[in-house]
Amino acid sequence: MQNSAQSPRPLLQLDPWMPEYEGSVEIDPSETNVAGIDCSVEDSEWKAVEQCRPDALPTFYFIDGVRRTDARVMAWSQSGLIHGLLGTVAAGAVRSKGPDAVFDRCDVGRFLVLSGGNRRSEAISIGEFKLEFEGFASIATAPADLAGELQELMRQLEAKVAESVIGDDKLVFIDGPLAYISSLGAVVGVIKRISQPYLDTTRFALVTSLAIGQRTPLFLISDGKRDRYSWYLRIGERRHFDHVLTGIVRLEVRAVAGLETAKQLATLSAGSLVRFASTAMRDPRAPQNLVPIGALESELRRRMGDSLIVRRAIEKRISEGVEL
Amino acid sequence: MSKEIGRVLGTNDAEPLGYWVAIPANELVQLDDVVCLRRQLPDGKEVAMYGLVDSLVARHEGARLETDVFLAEQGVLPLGHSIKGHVTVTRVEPEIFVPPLPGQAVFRAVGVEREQALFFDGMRKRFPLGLSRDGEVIHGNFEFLDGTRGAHVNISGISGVATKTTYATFLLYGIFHSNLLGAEGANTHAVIFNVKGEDLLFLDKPNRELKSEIVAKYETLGLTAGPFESVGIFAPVRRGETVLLPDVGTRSQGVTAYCWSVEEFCRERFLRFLFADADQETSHLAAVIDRVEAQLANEDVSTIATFKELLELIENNLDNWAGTAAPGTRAAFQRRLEAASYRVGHLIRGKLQGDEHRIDWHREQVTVIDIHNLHDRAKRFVIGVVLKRMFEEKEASGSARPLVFVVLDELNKYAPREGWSPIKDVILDMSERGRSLGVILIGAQQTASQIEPRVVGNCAFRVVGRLDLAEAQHHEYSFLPAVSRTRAGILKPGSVIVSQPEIPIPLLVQFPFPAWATRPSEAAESGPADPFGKFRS
Repeated sequence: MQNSAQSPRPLLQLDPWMPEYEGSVEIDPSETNVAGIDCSVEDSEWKAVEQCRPDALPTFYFIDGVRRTDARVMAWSQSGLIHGLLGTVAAGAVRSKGPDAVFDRCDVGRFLVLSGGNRRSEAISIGEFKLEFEGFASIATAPADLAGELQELMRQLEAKVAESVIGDDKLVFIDGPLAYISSLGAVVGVIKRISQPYLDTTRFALVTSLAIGQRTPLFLISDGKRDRYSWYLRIGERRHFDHVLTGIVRLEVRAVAGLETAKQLATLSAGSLVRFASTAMRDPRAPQNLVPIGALESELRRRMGDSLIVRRAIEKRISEGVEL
Repeated sequence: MSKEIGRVLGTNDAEPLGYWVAIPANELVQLDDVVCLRRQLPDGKEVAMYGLVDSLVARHEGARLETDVFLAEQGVLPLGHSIKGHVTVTRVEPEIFVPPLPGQAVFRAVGVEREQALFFDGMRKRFPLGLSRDGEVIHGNFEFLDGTRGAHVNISGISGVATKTTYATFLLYGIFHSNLLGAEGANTHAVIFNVKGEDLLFLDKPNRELKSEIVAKYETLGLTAGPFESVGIFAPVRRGETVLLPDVGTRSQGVTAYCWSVEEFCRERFLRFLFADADQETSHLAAVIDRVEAQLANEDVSTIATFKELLELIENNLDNWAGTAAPGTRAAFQRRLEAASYRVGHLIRGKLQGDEHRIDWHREQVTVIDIHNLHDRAKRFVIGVVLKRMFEEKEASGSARPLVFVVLDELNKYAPREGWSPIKDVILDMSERGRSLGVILIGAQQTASQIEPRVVGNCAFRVVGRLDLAEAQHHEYSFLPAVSRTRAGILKPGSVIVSQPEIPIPLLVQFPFPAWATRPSEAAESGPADPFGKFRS
């Protein structure tokens, strides 16, 4: 009670995401860095941009990928310990046009990642089928880094899928940052977990006060990676006890696409993305994990095959003796 | 080459006698489709499995919540459609019972494969049961009807949709007007009791409302659309008139009035059929009837001119003939005899000239006996007398051939589950021994659950038209799988579900609109023109 005269004591708020996932806000307050951010690219005044309904909607694409470590392996050689893993990655696209939403493509890749530059491909039999695990030589030596290699392979596959669907009259939303996309077409990265505010405290306050469909003005991020325009958008409701960033996503487009294009994409996304927001009963990461993305993740996991069956087949193959 | 319609499903159990097939959304598969698949065995043998689609299920794939359907329709949630069908296996050749493997292709059975799936290839003699929903002929094995391996047909269905008797007459038409019977055809007969309306009195008249597509259906069935070729029509004599005229309203020509003479009544022991009310019989009463019958058979009744006089004769002699019976029993006998005489008396006349009023079912191929205007008691009398006489004649001939078909609707009145009556006796006898005597019963009723179980149990062919859904739950219909029972509740007129011994699953068949008239307005004149026609306005 002794502090009540100076400032109200903070209230505990809930992260509505289910705890088996990482949190929806991962900002480390000791590491906030707003260097290289230009907040005046769209408007000198920092205020919420109202949603406006676009006249004609393009065909929307939603791109996502999933990965799974099927088994970890190792080999003791004379030169030391070799780590490895057999993993499966999958990436795909949902196409939504008017009343139709369909899975546009779903690609699956399987890899045998070995540390220390070792490389070997392996075929695993399940009944009549052969699963080809393509050899991938990693220069890393630590086992944790091998999982990172699998993540990398998944991002590459996602990028491949995204590049294949980019085109006129299409708007591609890719789950996550745009780091792997080289095309200049209408591709928007949707970042649902906020790990960096990119804005100073004053400007960031606007983010928490956005209404559904409202966005912040564009800001340019020049942080040494590829430059990109970014904005925050509220796509979903928050209950009064959820944290204030519930329902907020950050979106980004490549800066080389140009400011005008970025503005158009920002307007279009604000006018259309709310429709695809999920609800808590559908998705443990609602509302940020979009409905098509959630469905795509389930479908991709299905396409990867049953994990137990794959695991058993790998065990059988290893038991037969696989030499490096 | 058969067309692939889907693949054996792996997420449901695939069993030797039934499996699920996944059907692509662009493939049209409906209930009753006949399918087949072939499985290679490890020893190199091949097993062909034939079956029928008896259930179809469509679902959204990937949906977890019921409201997902709305999101899918808004283009937000990508969901797939899945369609699966259940196949009941009807036949396995050779008989190696193994499950089909998930992923195997399932084909629509056409031509020879369809014949095999439905056992038509093994039917040496077959008659048309109707058409399947895809317009192909469904055959019945005649050996299960003519007594060789089985006999009798039982038809159930609610009244008012004109299905039961129409289907019975359609079956007869198919039997008589195909080449099935060969040389025996001329001497094979059918006796049809017309119990309701007068719609069976025009079997010999072409139907003027016959459309060309219906003619084509008859052609598909291997039949020529037309009326029955040889028909005799009998109607009861009019009550209270000395001139013996048929009591019919809608047809004046070609109808023979029938009645029996007092002498026949006594000699042939028809008395018992005046007491044909089920439930009321007691063994004491039956003993009295027996005794009176025996006396009458030996009595000289040549001087008796009316049925009333015969009654007087019985009443005057009753104490004498049945003196040992208790007075109460005798009184009961007398009371019932009087009640019956009021309802049936006009059918029993004094002396008759010649045989012209006798029901002679040998004269024409099909004999229609109209009883619809008669009181229940008189209906029972006519049916009992005709069947008894027919049965005795067949017994005496000692040969099952040529066959006689008997069509009787409202079987629940004549062979009820509870009680005993002389007619029930005759019908039960017919269903149990008719197979060897060449008397084939085509019985019909609204509810099989109210029929003497042995009568239904002896029928090789079981047919259901539209059924009341509560009735369909009775165990009499346990030959119908659950899905067929549900369908029996929504069958349209002209559709029936037929079960026959060789095919392990009942088939839905459609039979064409009658090619013969069923009411005066449909009757196109076939014979010589009516000479007085032009005088009518």
